[in-house]
Amino acid sequence: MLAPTAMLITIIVVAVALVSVMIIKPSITVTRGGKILAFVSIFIFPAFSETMGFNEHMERSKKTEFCTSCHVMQDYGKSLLIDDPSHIPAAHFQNNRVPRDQACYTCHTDYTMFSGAKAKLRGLNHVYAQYFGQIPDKIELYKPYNNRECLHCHGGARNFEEGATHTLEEGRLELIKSNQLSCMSTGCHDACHTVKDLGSKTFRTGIPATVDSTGSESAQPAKEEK
Amino acid sequence: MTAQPTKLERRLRRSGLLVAIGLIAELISLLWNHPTAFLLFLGVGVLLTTTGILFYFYSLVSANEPSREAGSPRTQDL
Repeated sequence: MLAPTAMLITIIVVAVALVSVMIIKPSITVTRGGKILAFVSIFIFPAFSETMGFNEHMERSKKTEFCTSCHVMQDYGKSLLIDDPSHIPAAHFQNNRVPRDQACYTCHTDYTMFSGAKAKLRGLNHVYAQYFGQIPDKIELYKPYNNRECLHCHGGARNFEEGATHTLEEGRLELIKSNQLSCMSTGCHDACHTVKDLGSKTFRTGIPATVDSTGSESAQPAKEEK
Repeated sequence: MTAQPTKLERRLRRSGLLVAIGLIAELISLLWNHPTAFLLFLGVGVLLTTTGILFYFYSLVSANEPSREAGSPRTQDL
């Protein structure tokens, strides 16, 4: 267990113990010490626990295993292990181009102001759909994938700026940068989360099980492909 | 013979109960690694804890209101 989580749990346990004293013997508030104890146990500790707990849940929701813990997302998580260098999510995940423990969040959060909060609100909507709504047969993005998210890392990189395909025609690079030509256009980097074909794919083994909902971490990290 | 709890004490006890239940819900949500845990944290933990805190403050500000009940002299002490 992570140290901050353990610390937070300890604080909550202490807070519950202090509040229990207030519940059992509220008459101690007649003394000055009792008043301070009441203030600390009913306001300071709980308010701190709420703030820290909220932050902890926010951080936890960025984890790959968090996203793939829902049944509908498990195939998408599995697609990160496809043994095919042209499959964009798998190539990014297996080559550490994105942090493995935050693979989904890294690519599927807009790099704009309040994007994190928007992603969380959408996540709440997904949880609602999971239990009370209708899960669509085909999972689609809310809007076409923006090149901005790719360029957050690849923009300015030599293999992007000088890539033969990117500079094949004059002005193509500008079209890509301005999102007028999608990186995922047909014939370019269009192999993304092809979950329909998972049955015919082979999968890379020996990768940390961050995409495994069982939480097992027995596997060793894959080595960087050359 | 045990003295009857004053109105303030009863309110403190209620607010303490709300906070305690809320904190336990938060604790469970932190130990449960699932997306639903966030709903438990927000929908039960934060809701009950915040209600308990607000009720605690209400108890304090209304402590000096004249008590309608007889035999609660300790209210004046607070």
